[in-house]
Amino acid sequence: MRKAMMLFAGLLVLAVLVGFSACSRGTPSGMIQDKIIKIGGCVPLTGGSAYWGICTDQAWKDGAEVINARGGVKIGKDAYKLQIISYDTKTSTPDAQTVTKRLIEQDKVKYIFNQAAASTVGMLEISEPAKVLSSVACWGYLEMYGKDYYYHFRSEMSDYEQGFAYIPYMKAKYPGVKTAVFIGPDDKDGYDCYYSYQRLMKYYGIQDLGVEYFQWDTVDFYPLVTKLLQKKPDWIITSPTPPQQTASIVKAAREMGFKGPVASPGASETKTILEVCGEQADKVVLPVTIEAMQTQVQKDLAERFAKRFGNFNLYAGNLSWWVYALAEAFEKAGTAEDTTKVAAALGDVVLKDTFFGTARYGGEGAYGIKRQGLYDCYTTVIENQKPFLADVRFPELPPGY
Amino acid sequence: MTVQLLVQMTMTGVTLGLIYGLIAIGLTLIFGVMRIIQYAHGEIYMLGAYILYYWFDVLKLPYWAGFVVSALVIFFFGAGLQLLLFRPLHGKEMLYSLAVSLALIFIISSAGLIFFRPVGRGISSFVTGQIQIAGAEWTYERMVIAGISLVLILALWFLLQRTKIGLAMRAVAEDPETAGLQGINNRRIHWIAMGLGSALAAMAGCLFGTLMWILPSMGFLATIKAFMIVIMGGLGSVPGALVGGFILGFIDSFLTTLATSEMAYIFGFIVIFVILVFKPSGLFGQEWE
Amino acid sequence: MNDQSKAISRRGAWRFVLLWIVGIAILLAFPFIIAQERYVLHVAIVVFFNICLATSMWLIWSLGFVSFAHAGFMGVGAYTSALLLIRLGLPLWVGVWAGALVGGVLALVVSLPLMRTRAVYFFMASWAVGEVIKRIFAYYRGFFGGWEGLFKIRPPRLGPIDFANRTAYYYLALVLMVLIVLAVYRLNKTRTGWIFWSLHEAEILSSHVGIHALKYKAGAFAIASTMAAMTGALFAHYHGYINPKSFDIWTSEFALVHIIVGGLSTVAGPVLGASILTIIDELLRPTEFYRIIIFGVILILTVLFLPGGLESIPKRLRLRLWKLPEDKDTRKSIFSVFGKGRK
Repeated sequence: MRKAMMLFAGLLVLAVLVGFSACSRGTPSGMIQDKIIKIGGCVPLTGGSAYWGICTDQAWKDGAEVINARGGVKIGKDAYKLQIISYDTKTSTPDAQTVTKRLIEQDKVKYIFNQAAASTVGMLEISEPAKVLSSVACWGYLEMYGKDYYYHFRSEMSDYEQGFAYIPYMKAKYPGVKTAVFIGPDDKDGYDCYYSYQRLMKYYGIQDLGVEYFQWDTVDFYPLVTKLLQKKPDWIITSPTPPQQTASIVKAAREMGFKGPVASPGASETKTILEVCGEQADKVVLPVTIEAMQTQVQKDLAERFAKRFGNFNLYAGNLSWWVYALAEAFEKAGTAEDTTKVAAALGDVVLKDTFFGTARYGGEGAYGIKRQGLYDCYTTVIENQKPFLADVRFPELPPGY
Repeated sequence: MTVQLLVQMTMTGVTLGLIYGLIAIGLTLIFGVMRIIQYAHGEIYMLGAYILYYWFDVLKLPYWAGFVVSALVIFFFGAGLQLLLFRPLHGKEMLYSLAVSLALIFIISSAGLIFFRPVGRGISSFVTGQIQIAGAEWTYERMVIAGISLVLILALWFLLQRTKIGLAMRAVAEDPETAGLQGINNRRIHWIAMGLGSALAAMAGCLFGTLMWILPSMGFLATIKAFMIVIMGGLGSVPGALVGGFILGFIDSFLTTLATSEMAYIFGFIVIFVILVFKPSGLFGQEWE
Repeated sequence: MNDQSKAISRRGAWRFVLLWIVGIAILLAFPFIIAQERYVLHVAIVVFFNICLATSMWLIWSLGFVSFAHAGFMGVGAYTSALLLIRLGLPLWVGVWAGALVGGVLALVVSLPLMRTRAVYFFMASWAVGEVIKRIFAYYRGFFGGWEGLFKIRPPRLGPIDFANRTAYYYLALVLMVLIVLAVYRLNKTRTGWIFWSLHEAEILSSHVGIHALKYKAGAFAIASTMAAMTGALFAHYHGYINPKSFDIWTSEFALVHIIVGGLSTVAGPVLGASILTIIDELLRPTEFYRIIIFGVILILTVLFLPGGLESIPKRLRLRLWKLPEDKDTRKSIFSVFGKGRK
């Protein structure tokens, strides 16, 4: 009986593996009617980064639809439609490797978008040697970025770039701020954000009093904030912290008597902060966050999202320009096959009318290559439980950036 | 170390201990009476929080009414789960209840993430304002929540020790066969205990959601804490859950503030391990087969 | 089993051995069957790793308990092997045995206090062990790389064969899987295996018969954890990057789901469960959270309606098709057909 079991098991394994390989052969090459450019999504759709991953996915799908509706991407005499294929990385690096392999080897894509450090790291070691262009939002792992990673675009402004946009505003609005303390999650994103802030604070002449890292499983921020406030800072920065943890930090700090501003790049949701903090929601500075749609582009996008996905997550707007930039890069380079040419073209793309105004890539000085996304920073501030758009400016980058 | 810091850490430890204890007593009741592993206890807690959120923040109905409604709805939900899913596993190995409750975690938290979206929300506070005690700030909200947790824990203890149904539950927990012989309807006690344990989790969720935030994935954190406490204190022991809650609350408060949050987390697990080495059934637990 | 079914099994013995050989041959030829399609090879390697984890966890289960420290020991093997390569330049061939040694010794040490606990206390204690192991990796950034993880864990070479080639690594993973499955199978079949099951059933009774429970429990736990560690070492060198998050409770939980869905009575269970569920997981990748819901539903349906797991399907079919007279055993549960009386 046991042997039968073993056998059955073994044969079933084989059968399923062979069957799986047969049916995941992918679409046959050489599509007849439409010319298609396949773009892969290696995004966390479940797990800790699901919110951002889903937003990224939505932003690309929406953009692809808009581009296809206006005729697609024109290369030479042909018009190409964009096709988005995305898989879930489960916010896990080994799974991101699996997804990247599937996209490149199985689905034969040459362009991938990604979200968050865990997935990006899994993808890069496979996508770079394969010369696959990647457009990501990743704030950490700076050692995997720069001249040696020619095809790797960081399209979302990290803390460092955002700082040059909103810190000038903060210094004007809260002139008494001389010292600051940083609190971030205990992972590479947190460490690298702190590194960004060390440089920023040095540049802007604010004294850095230190850093605290919180575990993702923290249920109460009182103990940590108690520790933070012992240092008596003027300003608390928390990054990259999702809105609910940001809100708890603000609430705890205010309840314990902290009167200074709290800045949270990366929070991007005012509603959560208002709900959690209640009366304590005051002097909360949220860069790259927008609450009410201002320009026509923004309003259109919000409307399309509501229709297509049922609701509009503000964060998706931040990323919406990436696909338009890539489309323009295809047209400028005159090819969708040669990723080296497309990458070169993408580095030089300048868009004027995106969700966040002007958007382009920069960073030759800072990173050795123009691969860092830069765009207008909309800073929203919550004062006395009322959020309002406080400042819009393009990052005032230091010379030599 | 100033007096103010010490007072602040102690008060934080006490609040945390009581809230953790509230999350844990529901679980210890379920364990004690039914001898099943309810791994999805945290998911119940999450559902309770979301019910209050929709009642209070979305529909704008009164807070305390919502608190009671959440507890009642989850009472019946828990009882339903028991009747449908856990009753067929009665008498079988614990692995099966673990498996079913693990499956429930998958289903409930994913359904929550699809339905409620993975964005954090908060249940607005029901009271504002704070006072200073010995230089440390103490908000009314925290005091009320700590107070309610204590009241509920004591109420459960009272229920178990002094009422007929509590006696029945303890009898079933201790010796199901003899309890049955004495005329206690084991099946009824089972779903009542499950409902009650779930309702307590839901109330903990409401309170926590008001104090902190809600997110469909918040359940697993609560499950971890609840299990840690229940194991430390001993299965089926309400005093054990309270003591365990305080131990964990104080570790979290003091070690996070004085050392790092990482240290607090590791230390918590080490303490559990050490307790189990010397008292394999927890601090107040009885020998389990 | 009644006389009729016993007779049937005796007759078919040789046929089974032959089919066994065919099965192994197909596994060996697999890469060439699929024309070395790289993504499928990757999935196959992941399947093999999951089979290793599930099978070794099943070994622990055969003694009657569930260890949630399993993924932690996988991590121990992974980090040992990775660090030996990164810091000392020693290849996987050293790393996998070093990882096995460290994992085994650690498991033995931990098992002594651990085995004092019972049932659900053991479950929590093993969870604590796994968590602490993972957190230690995360805490010591300098030595273990912290949450950032370790990079550039290169696969080794063996003469002319470079295991960076996926086909080569497929065979490596295949060898490990076959070794582990075979080892667990043999262990289960011998007297030691019978002792394991008797401890599972009634530990107190067994110790009254003179079986030294602690020795066997610690031994099985150590062997299974060693297997997990070896799997971890291969995992590390395949992915080239590890961080503590890969070795947390979810990995142990998925191994558990694999053995429950696959079946708990023979070693075919974890093999079946791991392979089928891993593939379903891959196929469901684009579906966001629905994938997890489907897993939950599969798990509940299995527990409630197919308690024997997938491996019990041929037995049920056979009983249905050949209409064997139901003896009192088969009516109770599918396990009792094997005469072991598991619930």
